[in-house]
Amino acid sequence: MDASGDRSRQGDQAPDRVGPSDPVGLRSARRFVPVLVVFLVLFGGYQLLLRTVLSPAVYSENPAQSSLINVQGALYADQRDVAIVGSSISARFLSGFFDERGVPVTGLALDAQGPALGIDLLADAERIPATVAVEINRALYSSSDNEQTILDTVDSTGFDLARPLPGLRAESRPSSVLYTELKQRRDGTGSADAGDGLTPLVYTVDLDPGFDPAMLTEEQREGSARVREALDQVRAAGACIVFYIAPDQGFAGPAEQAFVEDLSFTYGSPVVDLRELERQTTLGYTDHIHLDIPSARLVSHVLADTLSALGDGGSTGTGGC
Amino acid sequence: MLFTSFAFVGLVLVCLGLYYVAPRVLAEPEDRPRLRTVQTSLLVLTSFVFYAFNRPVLALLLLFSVLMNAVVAWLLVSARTSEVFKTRALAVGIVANLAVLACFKYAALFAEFLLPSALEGDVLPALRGIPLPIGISFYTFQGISLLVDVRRDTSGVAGQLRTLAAGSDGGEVRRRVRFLTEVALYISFFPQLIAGPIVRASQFLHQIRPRRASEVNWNAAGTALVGGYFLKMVVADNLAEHTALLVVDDFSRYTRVDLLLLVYGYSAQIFADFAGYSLMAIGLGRLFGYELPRNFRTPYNSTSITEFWQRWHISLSSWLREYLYIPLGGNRRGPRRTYVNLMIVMVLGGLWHGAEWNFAGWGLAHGLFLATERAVAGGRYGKPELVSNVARIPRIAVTFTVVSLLWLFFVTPDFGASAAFFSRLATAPLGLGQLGDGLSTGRLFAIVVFISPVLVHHVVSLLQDHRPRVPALGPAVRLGWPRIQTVALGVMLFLIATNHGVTGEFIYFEF
Repeated sequence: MDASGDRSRQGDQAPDRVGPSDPVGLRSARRFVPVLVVFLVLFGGYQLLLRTVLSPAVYSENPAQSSLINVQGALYADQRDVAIVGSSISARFLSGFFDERGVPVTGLALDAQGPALGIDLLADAERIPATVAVEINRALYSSSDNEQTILDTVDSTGFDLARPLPGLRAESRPSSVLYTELKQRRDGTGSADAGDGLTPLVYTVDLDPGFDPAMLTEEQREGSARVREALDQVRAAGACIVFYIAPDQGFAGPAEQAFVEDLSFTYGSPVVDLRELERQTTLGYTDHIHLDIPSARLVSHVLADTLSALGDGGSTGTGGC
Repeated sequence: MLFTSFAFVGLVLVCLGLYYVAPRVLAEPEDRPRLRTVQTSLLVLTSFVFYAFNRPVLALLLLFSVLMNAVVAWLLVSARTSEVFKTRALAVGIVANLAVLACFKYAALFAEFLLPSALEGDVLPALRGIPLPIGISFYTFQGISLLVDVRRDTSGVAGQLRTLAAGSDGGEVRRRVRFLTEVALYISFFPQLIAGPIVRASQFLHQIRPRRASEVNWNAAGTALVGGYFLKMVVADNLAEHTALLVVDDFSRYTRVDLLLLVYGYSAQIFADFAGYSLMAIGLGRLFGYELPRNFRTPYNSTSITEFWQRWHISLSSWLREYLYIPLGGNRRGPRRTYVNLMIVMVLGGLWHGAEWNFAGWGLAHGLFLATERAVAGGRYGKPELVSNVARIPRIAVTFTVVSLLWLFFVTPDFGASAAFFSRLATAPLGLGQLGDGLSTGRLFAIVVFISPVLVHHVVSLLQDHRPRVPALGPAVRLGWPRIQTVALGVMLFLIATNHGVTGEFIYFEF
């Protein structure tokens, strides 16, 4: 700060400077036309690349965009018979992995969320699928700021615009497409037959487990109430509920275990404990909670097979849905 | 209403259409005073709709500010008012402006000092519950600028308003209405109402005149708008997802590289957020024929803190210099008084951002750096042309790191959190070979990718500034620049459409 008011002249070259001799009116507008041409060429060319050479993003460097990929994928497409709802742990279970086992799913596992938001979004989409698979690992966490962000985004004009224009969807973001490519190169993609011969622990709780809400924290009590409310919605719509616990290196603890047993008893629904797979094979993680791509593919296959078996009338002895 | 919302785009398009078409219907083409009034009124109406869109009650506060400043300005230019009365009117006007700011922004802070502790329990929560009207710090400063510029007659402002107040065209009522509308436009002009640039009366009032679409530089407006929307929607909104860790996370699992990346990420974000807003404001102003002052000059190319303040939030730093530092005596009363003045200005400048001790601490730290630089090298730190090319890059790196670390006071919730960050930075492992343990690879990828446009912008500017010293680069850059600019703007537009983040509020809306 200087009373003489000296001003640096550096940095004066930025494009927003206007000189008195610059053209105005129509002549100045014409100067902007090449910019629009470059934009249209890039946009069109990129859409072409996405349909031919590149694949749409299935992962994003940005947690909110990652959720948006799932939400748009779920709400823009025709609804399928099975929905997966849960947190970022299950967001790694791509619908493509389930397709490989012939179980088409609507994936609504969302970053920093429990299953309740996914169920709410399904309900807003007018039809709840016949089977809803509910991840329990983060079910006791109440809503986060992310939830409002997702709801605002779903209500926005941009979200409506992206429905007819795939180029505006989260899966088309150049940075996410690049990130997906790099991530798949780093982690590998696993094999199509991963999970063959592996079986999770599947059970239904028939006797009242005597769940004591006092074992939960205030936040967990709020989270559990929210989940029960959402599940009542699912049940009222006549859908079948399946609970599952994903491998997470011990993130889900005694509270989640007690909670899922109580839910199983309350709704008469089977519990698929995928942590059992850790005894049968080695799973890889990108951090302490989330599976890497090959392991996520493997676990998805096992879950798909199990859901398929449950739907076929209970070959696992749980009575099915 | 956010600049990035579809509602805002709709409002601007409607206003723009009416601005250039309606006057042809409502006023004869040669009736320039009427055309001026119609266009000015339309902009004022749009500004109030914009400001009150989410909370209509805010319109009352803006209206009060406009009316109060208009009445005082009228008194200041009136021939019937004595000089003594004018001086008193000016004092009352400034105090009234500051009182509004104090009431809505600093009441709780004052109460902490002034109230007996017995009353604090009842009063403080109520005072802390007073919602901060957005933009209040900006339009209050503009109100003060209006009154002072009119009293000083800076750039003939007083004469211009006097002509409006006492001109020969139209009756008394019409003149008063026109005076009020033009003051209202200056205070409330929607492109810069919420977060600046802080425009001085002497920079704005002389621009009010009838406008036609054929006089507008649409290319310059479009260029500024594309640049602004790109910085905000692509750079700042994408970085915000990751730098939010500075607010909510504990720092124990991060390495030094992680921590520095988060801080550099926030530096790029706050620049992109605020410079983006300023560019949008400039672009929007141009759509209506108004040129708003530039607010940033590649601030992270600064070789000292002194130079940083010549390049960052220029409209605030020049306002503080003009209306606070110089009236306090500036550098004319000896070195000690200069240092004291610098500290006063920077601490108050910090508090201008928010009634929290964090902001005062941020201002104090900057004040200390400014005073130290002045003590060590006099005014030389404010003259980058004296820095050799060899010394330039390391000095830019050091200044950028210091500025970035000081932003922590902005983003962390309190001093304790800032201290925890610095403590971890001092003790954490360096992080080479450990990347990914703390920050996920996705976050690292995002921070590096979205910092890069800010980096490129600064590097290009640096190269352009020193073009004469790199002869081989000169002609190439000169010949290629328009084409590079066209392609760059096209790419920015493409990324705005396809790669924007989740829209968030502007950081400076909180101030």
